[in-house]
Amino acid sequence: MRSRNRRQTRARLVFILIFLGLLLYGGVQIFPYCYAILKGQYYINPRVQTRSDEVYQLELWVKLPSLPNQAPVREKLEQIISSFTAAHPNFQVNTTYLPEVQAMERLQLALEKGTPPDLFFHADSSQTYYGDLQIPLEIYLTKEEKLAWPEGVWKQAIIDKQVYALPVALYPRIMLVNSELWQPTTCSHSDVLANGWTWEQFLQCIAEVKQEKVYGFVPTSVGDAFFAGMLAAWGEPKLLHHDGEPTWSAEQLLQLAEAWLQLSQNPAVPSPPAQMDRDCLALFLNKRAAAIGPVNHHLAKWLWEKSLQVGITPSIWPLPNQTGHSDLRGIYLVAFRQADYKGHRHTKATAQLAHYLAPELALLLQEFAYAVPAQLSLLDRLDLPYTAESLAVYADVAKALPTSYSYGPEPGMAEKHWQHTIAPAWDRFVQGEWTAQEFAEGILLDLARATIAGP
Amino acid sequence: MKHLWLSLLLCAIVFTSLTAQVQAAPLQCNCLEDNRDLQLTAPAQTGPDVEELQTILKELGYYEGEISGIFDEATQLAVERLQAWLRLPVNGVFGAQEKEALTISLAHESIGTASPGPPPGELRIEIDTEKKTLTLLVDDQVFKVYPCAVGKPSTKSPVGEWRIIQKSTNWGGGFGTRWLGLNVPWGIYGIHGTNKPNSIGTAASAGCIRMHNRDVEEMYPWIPVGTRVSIIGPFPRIPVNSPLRVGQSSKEVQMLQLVLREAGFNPGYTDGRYGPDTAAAVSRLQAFYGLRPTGQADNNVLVLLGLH
Repeated sequence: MRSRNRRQTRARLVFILIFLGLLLYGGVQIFPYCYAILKGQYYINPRVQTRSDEVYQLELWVKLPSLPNQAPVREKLEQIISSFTAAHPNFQVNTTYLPEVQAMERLQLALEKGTPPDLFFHADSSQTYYGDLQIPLEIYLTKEEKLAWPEGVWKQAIIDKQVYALPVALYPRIMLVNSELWQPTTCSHSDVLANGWTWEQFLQCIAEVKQEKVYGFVPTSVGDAFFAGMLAAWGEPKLLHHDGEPTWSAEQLLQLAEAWLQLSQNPAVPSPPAQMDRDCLALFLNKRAAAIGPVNHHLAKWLWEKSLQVGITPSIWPLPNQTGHSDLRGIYLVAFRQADYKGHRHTKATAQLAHYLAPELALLLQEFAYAVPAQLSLLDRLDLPYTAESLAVYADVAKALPTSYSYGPEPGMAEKHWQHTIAPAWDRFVQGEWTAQEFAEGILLDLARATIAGP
Repeated sequence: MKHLWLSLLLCAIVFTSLTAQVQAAPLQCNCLEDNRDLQLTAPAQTGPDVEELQTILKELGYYEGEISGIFDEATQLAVERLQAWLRLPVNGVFGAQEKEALTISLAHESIGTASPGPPPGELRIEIDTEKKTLTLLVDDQVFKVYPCAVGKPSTKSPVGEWRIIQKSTNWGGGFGTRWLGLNVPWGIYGIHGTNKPNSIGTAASAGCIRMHNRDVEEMYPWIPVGTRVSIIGPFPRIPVNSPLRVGQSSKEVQMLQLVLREAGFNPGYTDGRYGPDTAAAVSRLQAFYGLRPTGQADNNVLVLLGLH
């Protein structure tokens, strides 16, 4: 009887052990899926490692920065990729260079077909979210690795509490002042550098530096570039959420319109308002304007060097901003999965390549387009001709806006929304054809129409 | 006696043939085989080799004087013109280098003359105002090179990219036997023959491109209206004092196009016409620097390009 009980106990023990073993085996097998489900992304598992006996074929689509000569950038990028594949012989990277005007359309078509590239790098676009096939990349980084980027830069890339795009670099928009002419009493350089300045302070300062035959400020563009700068100044540089809903209310648009009217009526700027930008460069270089802006990364370097040649001591100031931020527009690397999912290890390989490319691309954009690298550790490698004080303003990544620049949810349509809906409305307002009220209502109505029917 | 007459006849034949050989030899090779460098010296060089050189120079249209057999200043000038055509250092000395280059060039010309015409493909003309040559290219491959004369320093040939817009024959006089008109907006310019063949290889015209009549006649049937013509040469920088707009045609517009191209913003053909391609290039430049992309070359664009 006792021995029978002992046998039964042993059998139970064996059964329990087998059961536990099966449970453990099953757990190990389904762990990646459990992990992915817990993270809300069934197709990722950053804990999976790539295998050296497996070949990973990765598609990289690149839209090079808009430069007069892209050949050296391309050559350098190919060197970067070659270095990666030399270190990872089982990785094959097929790079496709997208033409200037078709980049977004081609991506949109590929997304619709379910065949996007593994990685997409658009060196001119700040769009961070391209739809459901995009893979969140933050999840592949350790906490220590994430500290390489400042918080504000990460914030630009956050959609629905997840970082989908890996920040590469930032293109600053700044204001350039003639230090000899720019002597306002109410806003000192040190105050502005430390705390920023509001639109109201800016208007007051330019009025103070206005002299006979010298304007306080000349805008480089009264068109959509200026409007985009104003949107950034009010902290929300996009008009549509990624789900297509308008970001801005009529009241907020009225505030912008009011700010523009205040500027255009200020005696410190040239008139008529619609043509304020007509001779901006000549006015600044002939010492007939104390400040000029918004100045992009290309113009900043050109104007800085030209100013020195004509005997102007230039200084970089941040653009006025109601929320204390600097106008830095992020450039990102984004990853996709394909409709026929290639497995966790393929996705991990994609993330591995993205992780390698992000700092390398940052240095590439810094060299050829004077961009500011998004990673803090790369900032000391900035090689630009500005003084230390001006460089600090130019590369103030800690003050990056918490929102990215994007004008619509669809990659191919975003720019068109801007071009066909927003820019014409702004132009009508600037030309005086529309009142502030008509502008605010018109822009929202057109956006609503465009979201339903396309621009 | 009979043998004597036969011997005398044979001697006469042999002597005649030898004489004929001696006389024929200089025509073929005197100039090319003699090792002496021909140049202006005091006293002047004389001899059949000089005579032969003068004959060849006259045949080519570089020498207008008499066949005297004396290497004088006119002969030296003709040698210099020949050297310019052969793209050799111009020093007035006819030496081994010149002989070799001339032999190759004449051989090439005789082959070219025999050729039926260019092969199928995109035909275009390239005129080098420095080398004074007109090159016919098919699909960017050199098909034939002709010597030509270009504009004088005071009336330079219009450097730029043009098209043939007109073809006609027998304008006569200084225009020779054929005329291929170019679409230069600020004057009447063309490629034509000449009644001054000695000017070929020099900068002698009022801006047109002069060719030997036989060359322009050969080329004429191959060149359809619309053929692209590039005139290459130094382009003096001219200031642009006022904004330029779409629709304008001028040297200032061409200046803008050339500078846009230098800056990497391709405006299409540098033909002095402010068309859609130029406007697009200006817009790209404006967008690149964050300015309003209007496509009009306003003061900001001129300042950026260093034209104002």
